[in-house]
Amino acid sequence: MGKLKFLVAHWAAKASVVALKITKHNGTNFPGELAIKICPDFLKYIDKPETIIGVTGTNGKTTVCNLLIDMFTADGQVPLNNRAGSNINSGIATSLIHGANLFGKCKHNLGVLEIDERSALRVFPYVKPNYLIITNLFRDSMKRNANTEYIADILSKYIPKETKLVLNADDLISSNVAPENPRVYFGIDKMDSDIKECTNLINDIRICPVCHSKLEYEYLRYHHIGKAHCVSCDFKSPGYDYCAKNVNIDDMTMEIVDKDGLGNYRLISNGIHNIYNMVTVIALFRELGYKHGIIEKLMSQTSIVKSRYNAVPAGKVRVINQMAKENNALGSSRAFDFVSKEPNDKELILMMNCLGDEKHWSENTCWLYDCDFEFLNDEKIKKIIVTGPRYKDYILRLLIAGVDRAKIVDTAHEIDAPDLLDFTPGEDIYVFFGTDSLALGNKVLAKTIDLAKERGDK
Amino acid sequence: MKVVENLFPELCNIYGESYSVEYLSRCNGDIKLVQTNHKDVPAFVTEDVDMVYLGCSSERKQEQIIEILKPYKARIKELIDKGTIFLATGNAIEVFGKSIKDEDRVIEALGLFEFDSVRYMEAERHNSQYVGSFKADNGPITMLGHRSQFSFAYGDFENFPHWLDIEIGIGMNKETKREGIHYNNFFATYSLGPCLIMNPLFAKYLLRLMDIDDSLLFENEIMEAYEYRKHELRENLANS
Repeated sequence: MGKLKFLVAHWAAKASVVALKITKHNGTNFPGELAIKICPDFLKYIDKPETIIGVTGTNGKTTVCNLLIDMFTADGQVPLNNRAGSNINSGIATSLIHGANLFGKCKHNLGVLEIDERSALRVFPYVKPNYLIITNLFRDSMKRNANTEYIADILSKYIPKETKLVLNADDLISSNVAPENPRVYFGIDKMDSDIKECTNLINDIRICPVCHSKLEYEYLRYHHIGKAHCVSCDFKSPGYDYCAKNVNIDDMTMEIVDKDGLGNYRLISNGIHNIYNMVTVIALFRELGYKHGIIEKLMSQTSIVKSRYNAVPAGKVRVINQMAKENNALGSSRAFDFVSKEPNDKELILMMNCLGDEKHWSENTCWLYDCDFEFLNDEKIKKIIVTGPRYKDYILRLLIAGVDRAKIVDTAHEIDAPDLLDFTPGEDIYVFFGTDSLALGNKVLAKTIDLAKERGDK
Repeated sequence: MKVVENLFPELCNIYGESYSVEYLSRCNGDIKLVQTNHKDVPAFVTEDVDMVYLGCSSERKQEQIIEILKPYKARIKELIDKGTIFLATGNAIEVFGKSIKDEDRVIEALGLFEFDSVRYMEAERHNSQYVGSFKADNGPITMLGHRSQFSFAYGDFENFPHWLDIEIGIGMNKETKREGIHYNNFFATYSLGPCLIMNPLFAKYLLRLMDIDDSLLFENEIMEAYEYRKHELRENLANS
């Protein structure tokens, strides 16, 4: 009965794929939603690729998935993936439906699946990755993810026992998930820019989870990312199986050291979060038996997806879209840190507004006080335009962060924000927006580029 | 000098909570902010501090906090009776009730107020906001709150020293419009995050309770943001 129900669900979903194509509604989760509605354990019955690589974690999972898919593709493989859809159970079901024939048989040997942390309980009983990468665990949207302990507990409870974990040794939260599972660790060795004490507002593991004493860092990169040990007991960061050494931002190079030797890599981004993404991907490919030289060659053919960070020369300035997820203090903190360290003078437009929330209530503003707006108190940041429904909250937050009132300009309407820019030649203009305001953000970005070109022509 | 004690910021700062007392201390140079680590004896045990703040924590840390505070239960009661200001936000409110039920486990809390809490960890997280009010020294104050929680409190809240009468949103649980605790100068609410930044009129009230100038840092901007959010909540919640 279960198998029959599955086939009915699968055929209905396949038919919906055709209907969606005809009506030009590609990229939705509808086929998966429909299939799960008809057959709640649809994921159990549909055939899966022989090798599944799962990617979960708070930040970087989309970038890591994109790198993996691009590199496997460059290697001549055709990985099944959920890049076009969502990372929850219905999105994964949709990908599997696309990748299966009419009888539910999978046409792919390899799958790369981005898996939402909270969806673990709906995905892992049926989809059992051979390898699961956990990029990191930080506090995320409080509305969905509550706190890191809650998410780590969910993962520990539902990750299949046979899955080999590829973990970030520099993250004491995710590196301790599912302690019984086989695992390898990646990380980045001490860097010149490292510190010893956390200066960020968010630090999700301040005390030892075993004896509750203070954690002392040998080096700390940002938030709780670094190498630490407990001052009172044996608890400490795990050692590296795949270690990035001699990371040189100026030369854009790094080495990866593992038990079998050393590989030399060119950096594809100078942001530390993206260097972590690179190391993550290299660790996975090494686990699959690829040689360093091959991995370097495959990686050299990839780039970071441009919807997340893209710099466009326009007129006499550069206009940069900077992804900063709404309601995610960590993501914005990392972006603010990165932008504040960039050498050029700059103007910013802040519009990380949760527009969906505005339809029903007022956006929860707690995250503003978890987020390091203090990074924006920087002499190279000449003007900050705050806009959208939360513009008054942004003004207050920036003032509390120490930003000079004269630098803060506001408008309620996002589309008016580019008109308030100075477009000083040689500067960078950053437009911060997230997925909830993607369409509007892209319009503001396009207008900024147009205005920059106009001013540049004068 | 007025002493404001922030209890266990390394455990109780998961939604920007610590910025509440940080902001308050920046409002008036007469405030000394004491950050108390969970391994240290709280300042309120040995001295008469002017205000004690306890923020929201993870469920595991909440249980740890109850155990840390249990030895000081009598002292906390003494200070509450004396009129010391206490502010507890998020699930810190549950620390002061009788118990917290989590499936088969019953966690004994401090038992200073007559209510019990229940965690629903397997259910969808409850997210909502509220507009509520209470009578302060110079008239009613409208409070705005953000809720995001797995647990609710149950008790006879009609005959309970509740803090807020909820105009829009829910109270201690989905069946009541009574929210929080207000007894002498003890205030507690399920609302999360930087409660005093979201509620500048209440921040001013606390400064007056401490008998110091009630001017706020960036008063114009904080009042504008508050009024905007209040209007937005009333409009959007009423229409949803």
